[in-house]
Amino acid sequence: MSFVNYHTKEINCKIVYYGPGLGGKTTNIQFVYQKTNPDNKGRMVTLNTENERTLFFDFLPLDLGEIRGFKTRFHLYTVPGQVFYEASRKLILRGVDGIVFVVDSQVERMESNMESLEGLKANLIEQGYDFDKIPIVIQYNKRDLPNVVPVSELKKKINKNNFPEFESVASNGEGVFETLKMISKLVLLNIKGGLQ
Amino acid sequence: MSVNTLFQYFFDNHEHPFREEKIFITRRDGHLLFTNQKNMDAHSAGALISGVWQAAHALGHYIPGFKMDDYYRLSFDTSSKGLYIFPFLVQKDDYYFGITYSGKVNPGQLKMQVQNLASKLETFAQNNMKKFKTKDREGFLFKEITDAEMDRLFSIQSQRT
Ligand SMILES: Nc1nc2c(ncn2[C@@H]2O[C@H](COP(=O)(O)OP(=O)(O)OP(=O)(O)O)[C@@H](O)[C@H]2O)c(=O)[nH]1
Ligand SMILES: [Mg+2]
Repeated sequence: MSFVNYHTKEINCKIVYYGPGLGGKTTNIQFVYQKTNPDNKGRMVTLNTENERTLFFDFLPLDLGEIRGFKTRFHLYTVPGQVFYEASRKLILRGVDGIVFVVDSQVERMESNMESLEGLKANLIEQGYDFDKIPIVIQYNKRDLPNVVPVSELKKKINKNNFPEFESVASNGEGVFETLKMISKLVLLNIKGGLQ
Repeated sequence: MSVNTLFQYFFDNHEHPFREEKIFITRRDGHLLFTNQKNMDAHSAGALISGVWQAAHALGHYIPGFKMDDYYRLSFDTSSKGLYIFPFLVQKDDYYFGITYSGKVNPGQLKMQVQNLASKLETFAQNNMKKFKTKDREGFLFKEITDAEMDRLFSIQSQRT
């Protein structure tokens, strides 16, 4: 859950990149890390296996500067996508404010996408979230590959809720900041507690 | 409730022996609530402290007779330096007191000092929570956000390509 400190005027939010294994979650936040000014970021934490699969999580703290006098800080996490790391995914989802669901657009990954989405839904409900209310952005990644499912079909299968969606090629950064900007906006608009 | 303000107030007004050490207090979801460090890396340390605690906790279920009611703490150390995590409760919520140290002849003493400080903090929080409780606020913080405001937030992108 985000926390807002009205006294020091600080907002802290947690965004989690979720999706099937090898979909490009880590690649997304690596790109954000590489392209962000040193003053606006902290150390990127990667807990992965020898072959660079996420084992527990990746973490990147971002300082976005001010909005209406509030200092804004986002914590970006990725979950491990591999099926057997379900327990870790549950831990990382705790207190989440917004989700980027990274879809692997390749034909042969459709089933994994669906499975991961179902898992996300179940995990959110288990933690008391309302799947229709929590900010979610869908990212159709790996659009550069030859064997991809047309976006129109992905929309039908994966984005029944009509969440904001973006096409991307995370490995060259296409769509990465667009996605992050959208989820950030949704998360900020979703912070409860008006100013008196 | 602004528990981080409370922690800040506590450290502003209580002496403690940890001048050289790095202190990080985090909550379960990895948010850093207090640190004596100045840079952004402290947030990475905070996320790791919650993460390592929760991984250890999950592993705890392999310990025969594991009950979280027992007092667990986590050490990663050599005979003179290391990391120590001590959990404490404020209004039934878990918080983790993490500290890194080096060059200690007697790390056991430092760990005792951490435990004492955490328990003082717990008591202080219990007694002062009311004072730091912020009024429940209705509605949303932002009704709309303009594209220009979002663009400004995302001027973090370095100009180099
Ligand atoms: N062609 C192509 N490759 C990509 C793209 N995005 C990521 N990759 C590659 O896909 C592989 C997996 O990417 P990761 O970012 O590690 O995937 P992940 O979702 O973090 O995977 P897990 O950690 O196992 O959950 C890497 O080799 C990336 O370089 C893309 O848009 N196009
Ligand atoms: Mg990964």
